[in-house]
Amino acid sequence: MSRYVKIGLETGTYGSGTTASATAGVLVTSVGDPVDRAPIIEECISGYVANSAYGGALRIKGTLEGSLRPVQMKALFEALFGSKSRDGDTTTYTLGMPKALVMEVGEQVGDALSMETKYKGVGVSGCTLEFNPKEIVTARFDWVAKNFVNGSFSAPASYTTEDPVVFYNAVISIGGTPATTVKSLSLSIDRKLDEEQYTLGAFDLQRLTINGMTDITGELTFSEMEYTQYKAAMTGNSAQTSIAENNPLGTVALTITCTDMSNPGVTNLVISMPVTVYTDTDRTIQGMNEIEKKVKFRVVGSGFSLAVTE
Amino acid sequence: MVDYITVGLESSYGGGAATHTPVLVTNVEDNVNRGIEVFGNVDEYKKGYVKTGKLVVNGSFTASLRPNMLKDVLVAAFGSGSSVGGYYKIGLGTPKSLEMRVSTRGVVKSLVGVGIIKTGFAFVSNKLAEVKVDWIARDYSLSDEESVTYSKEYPALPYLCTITFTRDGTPVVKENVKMLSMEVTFGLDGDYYVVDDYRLAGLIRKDVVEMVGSVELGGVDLGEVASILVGDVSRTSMSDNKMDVIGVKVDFLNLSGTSKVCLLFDVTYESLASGLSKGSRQRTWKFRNCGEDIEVRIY
Repeated sequence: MSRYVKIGLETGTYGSGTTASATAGVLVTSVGDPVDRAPIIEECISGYVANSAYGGALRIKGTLEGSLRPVQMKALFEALFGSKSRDGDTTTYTLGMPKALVMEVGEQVGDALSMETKYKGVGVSGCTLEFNPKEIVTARFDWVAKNFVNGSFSAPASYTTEDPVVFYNAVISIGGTPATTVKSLSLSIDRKLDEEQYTLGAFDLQRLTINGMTDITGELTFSEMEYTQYKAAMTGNSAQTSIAENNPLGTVALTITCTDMSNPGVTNLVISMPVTVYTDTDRTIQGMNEIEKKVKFRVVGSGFSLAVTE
Repeated sequence: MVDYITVGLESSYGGGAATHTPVLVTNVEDNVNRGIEVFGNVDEYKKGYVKTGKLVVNGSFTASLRPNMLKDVLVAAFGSGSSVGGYYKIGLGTPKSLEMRVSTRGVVKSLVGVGIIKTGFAFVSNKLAEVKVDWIARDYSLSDEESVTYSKEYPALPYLCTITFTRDGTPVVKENVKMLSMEVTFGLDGDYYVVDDYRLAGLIRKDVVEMVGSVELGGVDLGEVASILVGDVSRTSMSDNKMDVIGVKVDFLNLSGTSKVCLLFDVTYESLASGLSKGSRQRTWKFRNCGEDIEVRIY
């Protein structure tokens, strides 16, 4: 019994289903791929129930979740971000127009019962990275697809050898200084893909484009030892005791640096957020439990990037 | 108790129809105004003299586009219909009248002398093609509910639609049309009453037939942008105030792949509304008809 997900960047016209090279397996912990035929229901005055139903706009919107393996997930990052540049072994992804993927999801129950669904024109609409102590760092991707075709089961021969990013190999730096008080961090990127790009003459998505401002937001959970960043988030400046007349927001440069488990000290992923504003704080003091301090942030301006080193 | 509407062409205005076609509709409205007039005299504190005035009967219905089911309605609206080769051609002519029977919750009105004031067509990528008909009538009577049987006809489906723009004899299939809608107003005089009759006296055009509409295109269509801004898809500037004329053909197929219905009309763009907000971009072109005819072909 085997299941798999294979991905590859789509070439040619949107929804062609072709890739420059064979799709590669990516280790995931869960995948969801609902297919909504969205039937058009005609409700005429002449009946108690709808008169008829016809196939509507095909809606395929799914999720993909796995332990963060930056090299295996490169295609997903390229589809999400849209732009990339290469410098030696490091590929840096920056925001541009999103790209399309081909995604193949296979399942097998015994030798004779198996299938593979190949999704074409897959756009990655969002990504959430969760850094929690005592856990492997997780990456969850939301995706939409233009269309699909069912075919034969064909599991990947192998997966790129890569350890996942674990919590003790992820360093959060605030203002260039590694922080030792971050208990957890979540980062969400929402590209606002237009999920209504339907036209007359076809029933599936016609192009991959965005329809809104990309939102990059997140939340830091600090230990009760953290005062500087918490005060900065409250007042806009950790040295101030109250909000100044010009109502400033606390602004920092946030960086997440992950190192390779197999090569201690060697960086394999850097997420740079040069202009990050603190948007709100939340502190819970309950009995004599550890005080929980949460600070939400939003990335603005330019310079946001994700770099993968192989 | 069944709700339905049936339609049939009249041979003479207000004379009723010999045959009736049941039409599947999603919405129907009908209004009757007896035109009550109230008068007051100088010797009274309140108005006491009441009389009926002109009878105003109007309404509308909305239906998915089933061309054969709606044939009589389209002939009445546009004015002329005839079999031509492999299709039935509907074009502009003298307006015709219908008899329409509307049954709603046990009340059945038989409306005669029905004229079509306006027909709206809406073609949207994820909805059934829709027709909205606004009408006026001369008279009505209450009648008994009857048993109706609908013909088996699929509505026009949005993904079996091909839209072609023809300029200078060169057709181009447009694959980026998200929405196309148009409204044809037939210029009927809704106030044509004569001195010895309280009911609408006839179907008279007091104005020209006019079509206005809009189209929403996906992506960046520089050609259509140039068409409205500078009058030609291939130009980048304009010095002669030129107007681009486009022959539009909206073609629907049956599920079997054969032709179902086709609308042909010439338009020119009137305006372009562009909006860019928070990364979201939308362009809507508005057009109006120009040219000799608006034609509907039913296969």
